[in-house]
Amino acid sequence: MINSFNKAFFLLFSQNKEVLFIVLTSLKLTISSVIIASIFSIPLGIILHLKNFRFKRGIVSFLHSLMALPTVVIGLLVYTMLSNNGILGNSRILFTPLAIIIGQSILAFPLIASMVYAGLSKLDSRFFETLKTLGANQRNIFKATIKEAKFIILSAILAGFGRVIGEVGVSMMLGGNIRFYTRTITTAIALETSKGAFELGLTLGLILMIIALSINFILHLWVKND
Amino acid sequence: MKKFLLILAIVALLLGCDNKIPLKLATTTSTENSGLLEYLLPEFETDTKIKVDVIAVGTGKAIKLGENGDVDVILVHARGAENKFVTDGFGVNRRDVMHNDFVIIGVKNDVAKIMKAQNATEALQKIAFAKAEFISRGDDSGTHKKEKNLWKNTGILPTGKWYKEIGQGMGATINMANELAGYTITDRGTYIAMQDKITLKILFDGDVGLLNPYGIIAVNPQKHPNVNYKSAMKFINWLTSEKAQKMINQFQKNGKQLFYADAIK
Amino acid sequence: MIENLKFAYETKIVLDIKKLEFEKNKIYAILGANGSGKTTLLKILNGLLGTRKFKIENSIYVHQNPLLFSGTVFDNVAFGLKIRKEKNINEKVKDALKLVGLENFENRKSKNISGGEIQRVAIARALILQPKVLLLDEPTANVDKQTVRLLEKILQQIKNKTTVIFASHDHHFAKRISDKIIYLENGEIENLGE
Repeated sequence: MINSFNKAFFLLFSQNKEVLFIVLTSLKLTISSVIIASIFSIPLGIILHLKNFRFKRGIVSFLHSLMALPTVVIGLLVYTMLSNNGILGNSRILFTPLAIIIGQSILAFPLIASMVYAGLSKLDSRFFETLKTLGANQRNIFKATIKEAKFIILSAILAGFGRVIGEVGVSMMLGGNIRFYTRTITTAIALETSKGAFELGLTLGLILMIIALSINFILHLWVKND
Repeated sequence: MKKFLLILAIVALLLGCDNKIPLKLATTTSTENSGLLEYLLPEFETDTKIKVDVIAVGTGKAIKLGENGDVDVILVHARGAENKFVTDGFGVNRRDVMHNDFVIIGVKNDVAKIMKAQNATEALQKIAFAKAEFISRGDDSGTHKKEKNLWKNTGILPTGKWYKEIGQGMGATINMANELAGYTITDRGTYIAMQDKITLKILFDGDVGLLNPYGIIAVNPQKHPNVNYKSAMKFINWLTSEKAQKMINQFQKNGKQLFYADAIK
Repeated sequence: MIENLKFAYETKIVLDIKKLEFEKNKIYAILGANGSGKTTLLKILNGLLGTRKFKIENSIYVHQNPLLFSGTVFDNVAFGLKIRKEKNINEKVKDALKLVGLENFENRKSKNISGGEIQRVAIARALILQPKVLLLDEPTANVDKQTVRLLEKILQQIKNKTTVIFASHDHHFAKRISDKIIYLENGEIENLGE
C-alpha cells in the first residue's frame, strides 16, 4: 500500500496525459452541470424564501426527497429517457458528455435550491423589511438578496460542486466511462480499482481531494477578506 | 439504552460473521453472470459442507486478489496471466476446467460486413477499416485481454472515436454496443443470457482464435500462510471431478450449452 | 389620520387604537414600555405589517439597531436612488452624509463602522429619498450621548420638510425634541400630551 502511495505521487507529478485528460473532463462536466443547475435552482431557492404560495411546502419537501435520491436512481431515470427505447431515444445523447451534464444538473439542482432556501432563512429579517421600506420592488429585492446572500449562494453552489464531482453513479451510467471521452475522475477510480490497479486510483483520489480542499480554502479566504 | 446498544452490537456481529470459515473464490463476471456458479456451488456445498463466497470481478482484479492473498482460489480465463501467476509463485495446482467461446456481435445490417470474414482477425480488420463503432471492455479483464490479443494479430492499433474503451463489465459493454448500434466481442454465455433484451445478433463466431479456456488455481499457501488452502484444493478436485464436469456440460441457458468441460476428456 | 386600528398576532390583540392624527412637518414621539406596541404601530404605519389601509404613503421606517447591507456606506445610502434609477447619485449621497455628519464615509465598509454611525447611515439612507414621513424605532437606544445630540440636530434640520414619528422610552429625549407625545400602553393610546 505504501508502494502504491509512492507511485501515486509519482503519477501525480509526472506529465501523465491521460490523468490530465480525465481531470479536465471531470472539471468541465462538473462546472457545466453546476452552472446549469444554478441557473434554475438559485432563483427557485430565493423565490421559495421570498414568496408564500400554495404548494410551497410541498415543493420544499419534494426538493428534500430528491436530495436523498441515490445517484444511480437519477442515472437510471435519465438513462431510460435517453435510451433507444426512451422518449428521447433519437437524440443520440446517451454515452456522451452531454448525458452526464444532464444527469448531474438534475443531481445538483435540489441540493443547491434547498441550501439556498435554508440559508436565506438565516438572513436577518430586518434585511427584507429594510428593502421594502426603501421601496424595492420584487426585482430589486431579488437582486439585492443575491448580493447580500452571496456567501450562502456560493456555499450552496460549492456543495453542488462537491456532490457532482464526487459522484460516480450518473457519470458511469450515462457517460459509460469511455476512455478519452466520458471518463471522469470517479469512474476512472472505479475502473482502476476493479482492475486492481490502485496507483492511478489513488492519484486521482488525491487530485479529487486537492480540488476539494483548494476550493474550500479559497472560499475561506474570500469570506475572511470580505 | 446501554443494554439496547449492546444487544444491537451483538446482533450486528452475529449477522456479520459465520462460524465456519468460507472459501473465498475470485472469479470473472462471466461465470457469475451466466448463472453457472449458482448452479454448481450448492452441490459443492452439500458434498463438502464448505461454503463458498464468490467475488466476481474482472480477471485482472481476480488475479490481483490472489496475489494479495485476499482470496483462496481463483477461476479465470486468461492463460498467459494464469501462467505468470503460477510461475511468479502466487498460485499452485493450476487445472483446466472448461472452455466457452467468444463471439462478435453487432447490428443485423452489419455495416462492416464482418459476416463475410474468414477468421476473427479479418473480422476485426473490417470493423477498423469501416471505422464502425466498437465497444471495448477496456478493463483488463480476460475478455479484454483476449480482445487485445486479437487486435494484435490484425496489426492495427485501434484508436479513434469509433473505438470506445469503457472499463466496465460485459453486461454494460453489451448494453452500450446495443445503444450505440456498435460491435463488441463477448463470451457466448453472457450474450445468450442477454439476447432477449437487446437487438444485437451474433455476426461472427466459430473461429479457433475465439476459444476461451478457464483455469482454476489455488493461492500458494507458502506465499500467504493464512489462506484456506485445504478447502481450495477440495474445490479444485471437486470442480475437475467427473460429477462436476458432467454438470458443466449439462448446464444450459435458453436451451443452449454454454461451457464445455475440459478436465476429463 | 387613523381610525379604528386593530392589530393582533394570532388571537392576541397588540394594538387597539380608536383615533390617531399626525400633522405635517411635526415631530411625534411614541412613548411606552417594552411590548406596548410601539414597533408594531410604526411598522403598520409603514405598511410592513397588517393591511395597507393604515399605510402612510412615502414613509420610510428605520429599525432599532438598523441593518446595513454588506458593501460600503455609499452602497447603502445610494441604494434607494439606484433602484429608482435617479441621477447625480454621487452628489446626493455626499449631501445626505453631510447632513448626518458623516462626510467622507462613502468608501468605508459598512461592517467596519460603529453603532452610532450605523444609525446615522441608516437615517441618511432613508432621508436621501426625501420621505414625507420618517419612522424611527428607538433611535436613541444603543447609541452614545454624542450621537443622541447629533440626532437631535438632524431632526431639527429636516423638520421643515419631513414629519418624524419616533418610538422611544426615553422621556427626556422625547420631551426635548418632539412637538407631541403619544403614550402607548398595552396597545392603547392613553392620552395625547402637549
